[in-house]
Amino acid sequence: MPAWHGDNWGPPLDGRRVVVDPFVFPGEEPRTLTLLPQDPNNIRDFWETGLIANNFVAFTGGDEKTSARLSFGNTNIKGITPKNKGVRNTINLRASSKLTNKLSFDGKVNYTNTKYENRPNLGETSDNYVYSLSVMGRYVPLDFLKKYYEKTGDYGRWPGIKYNPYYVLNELKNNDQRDRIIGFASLRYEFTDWLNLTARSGLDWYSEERQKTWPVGAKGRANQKGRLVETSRKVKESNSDFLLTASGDISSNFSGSFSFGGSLLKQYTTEMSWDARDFKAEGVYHVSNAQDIRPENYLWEKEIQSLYFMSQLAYKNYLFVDISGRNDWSSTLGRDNYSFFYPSVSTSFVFTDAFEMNSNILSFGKLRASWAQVGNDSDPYLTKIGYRSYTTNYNGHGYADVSTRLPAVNLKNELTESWEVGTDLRFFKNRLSIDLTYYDGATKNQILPVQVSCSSGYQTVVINAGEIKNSGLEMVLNAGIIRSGSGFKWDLSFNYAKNESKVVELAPGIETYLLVDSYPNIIEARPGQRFGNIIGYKYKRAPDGRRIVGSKGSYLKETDKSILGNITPDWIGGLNNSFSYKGFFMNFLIDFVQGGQLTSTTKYQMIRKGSALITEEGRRPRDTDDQGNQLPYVGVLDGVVEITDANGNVTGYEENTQAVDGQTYWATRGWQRIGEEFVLDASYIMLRELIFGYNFKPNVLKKTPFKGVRVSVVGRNLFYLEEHMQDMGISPESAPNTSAGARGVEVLSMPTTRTFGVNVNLTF
Amino acid sequence: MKTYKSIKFIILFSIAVLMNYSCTDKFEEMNTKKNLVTEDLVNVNLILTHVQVQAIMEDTPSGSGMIGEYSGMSYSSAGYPFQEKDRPGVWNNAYKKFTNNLSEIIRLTKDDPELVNKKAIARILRVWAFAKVTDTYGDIPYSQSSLPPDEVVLHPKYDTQKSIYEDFFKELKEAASELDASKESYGGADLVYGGDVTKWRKLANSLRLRLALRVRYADKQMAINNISDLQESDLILTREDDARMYTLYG
Repeated sequence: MPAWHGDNWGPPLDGRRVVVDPFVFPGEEPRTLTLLPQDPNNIRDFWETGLIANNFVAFTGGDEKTSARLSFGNTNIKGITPKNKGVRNTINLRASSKLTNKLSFDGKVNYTNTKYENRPNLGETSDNYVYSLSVMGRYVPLDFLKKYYEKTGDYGRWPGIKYNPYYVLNELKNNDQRDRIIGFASLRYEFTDWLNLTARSGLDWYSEERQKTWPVGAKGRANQKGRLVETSRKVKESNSDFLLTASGDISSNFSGSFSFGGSLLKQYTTEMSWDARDFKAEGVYHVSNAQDIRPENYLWEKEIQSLYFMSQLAYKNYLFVDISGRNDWSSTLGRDNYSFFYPSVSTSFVFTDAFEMNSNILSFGKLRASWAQVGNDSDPYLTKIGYRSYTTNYNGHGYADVSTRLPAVNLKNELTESWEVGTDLRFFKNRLSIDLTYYDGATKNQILPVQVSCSSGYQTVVINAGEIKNSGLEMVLNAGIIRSGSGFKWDLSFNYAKNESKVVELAPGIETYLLVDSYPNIIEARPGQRFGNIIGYKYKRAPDGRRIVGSKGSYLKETDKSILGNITPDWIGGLNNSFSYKGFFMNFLIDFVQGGQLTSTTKYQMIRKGSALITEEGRRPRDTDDQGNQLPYVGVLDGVVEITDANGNVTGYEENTQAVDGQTYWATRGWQRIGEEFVLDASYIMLRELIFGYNFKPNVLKKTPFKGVRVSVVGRNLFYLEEHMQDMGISPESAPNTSAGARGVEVLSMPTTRTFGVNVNLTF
Repeated sequence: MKTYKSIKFIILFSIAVLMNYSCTDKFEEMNTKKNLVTEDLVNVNLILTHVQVQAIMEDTPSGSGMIGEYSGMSYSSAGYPFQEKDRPGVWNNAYKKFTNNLSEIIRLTKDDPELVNKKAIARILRVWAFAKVTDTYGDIPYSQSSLPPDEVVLHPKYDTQKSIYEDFFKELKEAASELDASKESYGGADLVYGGDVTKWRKLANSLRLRLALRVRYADKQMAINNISDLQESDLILTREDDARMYTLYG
C-alpha cells in the first residue's frame, strides 16, 4: 500500500468502502475495516487540560535604617500533554541599610530552581506529535494506536502515520533543570549633599542540565539502537560598575547634574554534552552503557569595558538638556577596533510651565527631541578562520575540516544613529493624556553572518557593512472616562505602535540575508526592501490576475521566486478598559495586530495530505453511484488555461473546464511548492485578558487576621475576534520564538492555550 | 579629616577600577575559539580522511542514488515518479565538504617539496569530485571556487565545461608526474590506497582515460590527445589496484 493511501483523498468515509484492516495487533487474524470518520473531537481529546498553580508569600520588615523583604514562590505546571510537567521554586531576599549616615547598602539575592519533564518536540520532525496528528487520515482510530503501543511497546507502522504519537509521548523522554542565582550588592557613599559615589556588583549565574532519551527500537538511524543526549551548561554574566554623581543648583535658575562612571561586563558560557548511542543493555540510560559516544565542549566568552558620563542641565524646571557619552571596549571586535564611542543629546521643554498657561483645558504640555548614537558589538569568535577537529573517526583515523565561515578580521562595531521627537499632552486636569513619539534611525556596519553560495568554498561570510533603517510612530492615550459620584470609575488606555524597517544595503556582493530557512517559503532581508520579506513561488497568473491551470488540471507556479508578504505588522496596539465600583473591579484588554503575513508549514502539510478542512472544496460527494459506477470529478479549479499557437507561444487564455480529483485540486500546490498558497494573513484581534474581582473592605475583615483580601478570576488568551488561520488548529501567535524573522514562520506548532485562573491575595 | 578620608577613598577606588580597564591585552586570546585548530597546527591527513569518508562512503545524493540522478527520475512518496524537482545534492556536497577541503590541502602543502605526494593525491581527488559536479550540471564555478580568505570570490564565475575538462586533464597529468615514491605520503590516513603513490598514479591515469572517453562526442580532439598521451602510462588493470574503500565491517 503506497503511503498516499494513508492520505485524505479517497472516497467519502460513508461506510461503503471496506478495506483490509491495517489496525490489527501482531498475530491477529486478518479482517476487514469499514472506513468511517472517527469522533470529530478525537484529536482534541489527545490533549489534556493543563493546570498552573502559583503560590506566593512575602514578608517585609525593618526599621528606619534597615529594611528587608523575603519572599517565596512556588509554581506547579501540568502541561496540555500527558507527562509534561514542571515546577518552579523561587526565594527572593532584598535588604537595604544605612550603615552610617554617609554610607548605605542595598542588595538582592534571588534563587530560582526549575524542573521540567517531557517538553513536547517542536518543528517539522516526526517526533513532533502535532505533525502526525495534523496529517493522519480521518479514519485512523487513535485509541487503537494507544492500545497498540501499550500492548506491544512498539510504535507500529501504518500508512500515513508519521510516528505513533502515543509511543512518542511515552518513550521519547526529556527533562531539564536549572538553578539560577541573580543578585547584586551596592554601596553608596555621600561625600556631601551634592556629591556621591555608587559602586555596584551584580551577578546572573545559572547551571542547567538537560537530558533527552530514545529507547532501543526508536525511529531514525541515529536513535534506533538507543540514544541519550545529555547537556550540562553554565552561564555567568557579571557586571560591576561605579558612578560618581554631582548634582545641585548652580544658580537660582539653573540646576544640573554630572555623572561619571565605568563598568565591566563579562559573559561566560560553557557547555559540555555527549551524544551517546548504541546501548549495551536495553533500558539503561547512562553514558557508560553506550558504545558510540560523541562528546562536545563549547565555550563562549566575551567582555565589554566601558567608561561613560551623563549630564543634565535644567532651567527653571521647564527646560532640560541632557548630554551623554560612552566609550566601550569589546573583546569581540577586530584587534584595532576594540574601542568605540557613542554620544547622545536630548532636550525637553514643558511649555505649559514656561508660558504659565494655567489653562483649564491643557493642564500639562511637553515637547521633547533627542538624537543618539548607540554602538553595538557582536557575538564572539567572528574574527578568525581555522580548522575543526572531530571526536569521531574512521577506524582510528581522525577527521578535520576547514571552517566554512569567512571571518571579518577587522570587525568593527555596529552603530545605530537615531533621532526622536515627541510630546506629552495632558488635558482636563490630567483626565485625558496623550503621548506621541516619532523616531527615525539607521543601523550601519551591521555584523551579520550571511549565507553565501557554497560554490565560493564558504557557506557564511561575516559581513560588517550595510544599513537598515527603522522609523515609527508610537502613541499612548489614557482617559478617565467616568468618575461618578457613586464611585463608578471607567478608565481607558490605548497604545499604538507602527514600525517600518527597511534594508538600505547589505555588503557589496551580498544580495540577500537569510533570516529563517523554512519550507516551502523562506524569510529574508534584501537591499531596497522591507526587512523580513517572505520569499517563495507565486501562482503563475494571466495578465488579468487569474491563476493559470496547466494541462494536468492543476495550478502552475512562476519560474522565479518573489516576495509573497512581509512578517512585520502594519501596526500593533492594545486597548485596556478598567471599571471599578465600590469593591468590584473589572478589566479587559484587547490586543490588535494588523497587517503582516506568516508562512505556515502546517498548512503546507495539511494541503498535501488533505486533512485541512478547506480541502473539502472541489471534491465529489461520492466516488461511485449505488451501482458502483464511477461518478465524474467535480473539482474545476478557478482559473484559465493558456491558448498556444503551433510554436508554443501563448496567444490567449480561456476558462479552465477540466475537472480533477481532490488530490490534483489541492495537493499539487504543495508538491509544486507554490508558496503563495501557504502565506496567511497574520492580522488578529484578541481578547487577551479579562479580570473580574472584589476587594474586601477593611471593616469586613476586622474580625479576621487579614488586613486585606482581594479575590479575582482571570481569563487570558480568551478568544480571537479576528484571525485568518483557516480552521487548521493553529494561531497567528504560534510562531516558535521571537528571534528576528521567526515571528513569520509557523511550523506544526503546538495548540496555543487559553488560561483561566483564580487569584487570592491575602495581606496580613 | 573626614574630607581627607573621602578623597583617599575615591582615589583608591578609582585606581582599583582603572586597573581593570587598562587592559585589552587578553582580548585576542579571549576571542579565539578554544577548539580552533590553526593553519600551523592542522594535520592535512585528517582532512583527507574526512573527505574520503564523506565523498566515497556517505555520499548518497538526496536519497535517490546516482542512478536516479543520471536518469533524471526521483521517486516521490506521493506515488508520482518523474517529477521535476530541484536536485542540489551533488552540488552542495561537493562544494560544502569535498572541493573546499581538497583545495585547502593543496594550498597547505604546495610550498613544501617534501609534501608533494599529499598535494598530488589531493589534486587527483579534487578532479574526481569536480567531475561529478560538472557532469551533473554542466558549466560550474571552478577556477574561482574555494580560494583562500584573502582572495575569496563570493560570486565565483561559471567556467565552461570545456575549460574545466581541459584543466582536469592538466591537473591529472601534472599530479601523476609529480608523485614521488621517495617522499612522504598519507599512509593509513588514505583509506583508498594507504598512501601508495604508484596506485594513485594509476588512478590519475585511469581517471584521465575515463574523462577522455566521456568527452569523445563533445570534443573528439581533446579525447584523442589525452588517450594517445596515456598509451605508455600505467593504468588500473587488476582488481588489487581498484580505488575502493572498505566499510568497517569488511
